[in-house]
Amino acid sequence: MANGLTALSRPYPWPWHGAFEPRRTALLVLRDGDIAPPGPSTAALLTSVLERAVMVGLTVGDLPGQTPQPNGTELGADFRIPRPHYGAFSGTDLDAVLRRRQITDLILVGFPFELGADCTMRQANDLGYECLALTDCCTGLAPDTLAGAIATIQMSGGIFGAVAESAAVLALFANAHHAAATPFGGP
Amino acid sequence: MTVQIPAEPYAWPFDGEFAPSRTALVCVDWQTDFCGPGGYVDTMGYDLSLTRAGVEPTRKVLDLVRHIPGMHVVHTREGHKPDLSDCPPNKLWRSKRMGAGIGDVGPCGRILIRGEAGWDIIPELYPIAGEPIIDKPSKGAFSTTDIDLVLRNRGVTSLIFTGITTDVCVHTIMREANDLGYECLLLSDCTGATDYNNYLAAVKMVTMQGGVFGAVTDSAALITALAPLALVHSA
Repeated sequence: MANGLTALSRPYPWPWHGAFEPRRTALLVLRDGDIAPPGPSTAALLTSVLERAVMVGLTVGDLPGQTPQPNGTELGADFRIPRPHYGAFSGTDLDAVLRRRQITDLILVGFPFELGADCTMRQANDLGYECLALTDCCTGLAPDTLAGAIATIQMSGGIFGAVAESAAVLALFANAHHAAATPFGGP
Repeated sequence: MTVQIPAEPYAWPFDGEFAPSRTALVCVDWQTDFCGPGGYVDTMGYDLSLTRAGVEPTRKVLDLVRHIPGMHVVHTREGHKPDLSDCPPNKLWRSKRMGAGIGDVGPCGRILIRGEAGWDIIPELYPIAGEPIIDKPSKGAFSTTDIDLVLRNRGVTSLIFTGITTDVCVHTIMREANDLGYECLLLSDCTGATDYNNYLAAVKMVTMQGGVFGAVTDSAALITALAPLALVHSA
């Protein structure tokens, strides 16, 4: 069953089941107001990941936090669920939305990561979703709290899932695109 | 008499109205599997002194709280059914990669399995009659157990946290509770993590943004503040 498509992630090649499938995967963007907005280079990275994600067939979810967003943050998302709380599963129908789309694997980015994205990754992991934090597409409240949050994910063999940089995820997307374009058995 | 507990970044609780009958001491996962020889964390090779550091301060807090009329104590315990039917496959797979597979036989019985010796709460902090135990198959507790109902039935609105590990189960439960409107306080010396820097980051995280997940204090400050409420107390 495993198609061998995994990312160069830590502490294990994500996803755990060894068969990355865009149609089973959502990219979730969690912003908490303007506490820690992405700088120009982070925003450019995120834009490039979002473009490739859409191209290869991932679902994109926009999960804005409690504070109204500034202008110019339109993601072109497949769905948008405003969060009343930090965790995106708290008081929303996010679980039903993901299940209806048969999504089992989640890639998360957050601004800042430690609030909405971290809370949501913990909730998703408890519900059985396979999660990946995209570290260089996130901002932090402070360098040490972001480093702690990313380090905690990797404890005990990946206690909330795995972490990777955007280059690894872009390579995964490219491999999935290539695999989809090449019939089984090859030419 | 008005009681307020000195804490960072604000005196707790926020409304200045500490009430024992509306407050629960939550003891998170004080299990042999997380802080005892031969348990899950020990099998993975982590330093047990880090997760055991909070045992004695927590014992003192527990002893005081049990003498305050009307105050609640709730314990949580992580573990799975013997047939592993409540264990997400990715959680099981990750644990086996670490050489400490959930359900594998270890020195304290099957790892993280309900009913086994390693799964139970350590004797120093064992629950007494009247203290509910919430068994959870997860890091958090609110999405997978009846803890919210148990707390609501008792009229609890404020939670004081001890337990392990700081950055994983304690933080996850505190974040869930905070989202639901519970007023939360973490006792910094009554908790520990498998990595000291992750412990420091997790404690600091609570206090960011004016107390994004609640407030932080230590056992000495709590005991000083609450001691006058105790009927009889000998720590």
